Amino acid sequence: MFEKEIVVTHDAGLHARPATMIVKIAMQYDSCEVYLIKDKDEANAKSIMSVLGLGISNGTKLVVRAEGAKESEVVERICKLIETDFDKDKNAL
Amino acid sequence: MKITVKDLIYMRSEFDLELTSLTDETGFGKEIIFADINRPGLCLAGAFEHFAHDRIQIFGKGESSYFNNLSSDVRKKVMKEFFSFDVFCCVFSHGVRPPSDFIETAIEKKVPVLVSPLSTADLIDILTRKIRNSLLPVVNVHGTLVDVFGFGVLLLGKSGIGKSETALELIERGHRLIADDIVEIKKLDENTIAGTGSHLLRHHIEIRGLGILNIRDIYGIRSVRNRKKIELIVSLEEWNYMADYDRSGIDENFYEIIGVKVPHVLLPVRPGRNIPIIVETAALNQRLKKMGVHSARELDAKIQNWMRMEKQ
Repeated sequence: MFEKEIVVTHDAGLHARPATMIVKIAMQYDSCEVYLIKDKDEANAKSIMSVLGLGISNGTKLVVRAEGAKESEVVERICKLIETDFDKDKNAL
Repeated sequence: MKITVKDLIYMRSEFDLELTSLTDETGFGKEIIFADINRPGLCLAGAFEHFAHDRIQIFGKGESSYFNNLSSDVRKKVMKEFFSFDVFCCVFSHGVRPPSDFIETAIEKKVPVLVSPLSTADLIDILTRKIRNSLLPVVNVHGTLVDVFGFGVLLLGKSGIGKSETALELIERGHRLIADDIVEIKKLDENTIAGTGSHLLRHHIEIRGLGILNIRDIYGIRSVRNRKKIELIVSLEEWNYMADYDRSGIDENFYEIIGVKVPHVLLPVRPGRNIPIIVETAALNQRLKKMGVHSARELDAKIQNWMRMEKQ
C-alpha cells in the first residue's frame, strides 16, 4: 500500500471535469485499487460517481491511496495532477 | 455518524423539533452521545444524587412551573447547584421560556438552552428518534442498490463489471434505483440494514460511454426511491473456471455487512448471460424462500423420496 496526503487547491474543487481526469489516470492501472479518502469517507478513484460523491471542495485535505501493481506511480501521478491544478499540458493523461 | 446540538436545530427531516436557541452558539458543537433524555424534576426539588447531567434535560410544563414558583432564594440555590454540574443542554417544551437569570447562567456555563412549541411527549419522542437514528452504525459500500419486485438487492463487484448496466436494464424493466456506486448502509437493528444514496449523487448513474445520467429525469419518478431495506446481495465477478459456483442452491450463503448477515449470491458474468434477468429471478427465488418455499430443497426431497420408494 502506498498513500500520500494532499490539499486540493483547485478553485472550483473536484467537479466533473477534474474528477474525470483523475478517473482516467486511475483506470490505466488495471491491477491496482486506487482510493481517494476524505476524512472517513473513501471513494473508488476509478469511478466518477464515487469521486464526485465525496464532494471535494477547494481546501479539502485528501489522502490518495493505492494498493497493487505500480501503486506509487499512480499515487504520484494523481497528486501531480491535483498539485498542478489539473493543467492538461503538464500531465499526460 | 456524529450529531451535535447544532444538528438538532438545523438538521432537516420529516419531523421538525422547531427549536429556537435562547443562548449564543458557544455550546452548539457539543456532540450528543446518549439517545435518552433526563427530566430534571428531582433536581429542581433538590435531589441531585445520580443526576444524569450528560443527557439532554427536558423541562416540561411541570418542571417549568415548579421552578418558576420557587421562592427566589431557593431558586437561586437550586440553579447554582444545577449548573455546578456539566449540564449538556436544556430544552423547554410548550414554548415556555425559562427566567432570564437561568439563561444568563446557562450562557456563562456554555450550556445551550433551547425552546420548542411542541408538547413534551412529542418533543421527547421526536428527539430520541432523531438521535437514535443518527447514532446507528453506518458504512459506505461501493455497489448499486435496486428495488427488484419490492426486494432490496445490492449489487457488488469490481468497477466495470456491469453493476450500473444491470441496474439500467432492471430500471427499464420497471424496477427502482436507490443508489449507484456509493450506497450508504445503515444498521437499523440486529437483523436489518437499509441503504440510501449519497445526497449529492442521488438517483444518478454513470454508464461508460454515455457519462452521468439522471435516472429520475429520464425514466420518471416511478423509477426511483430514496431508501430500501437490503434483503439480498448479488456479487458479480468475471467467470473464473477454477471458482466453485453454486450449482444446486441447497445451501444458503450469507454476506455480512456491519454485523448483519444478508443472503448472498455469487454470479459469474460471461457473454450471453443475461444478468438482469438472473438478478430478477434471484430476487423472486429469495422471496419464495422467505415464504417458506425452497425450490432446490424441495426437488431434493422429492428425489430422495422417489429413491426410497424404488428400494421397497
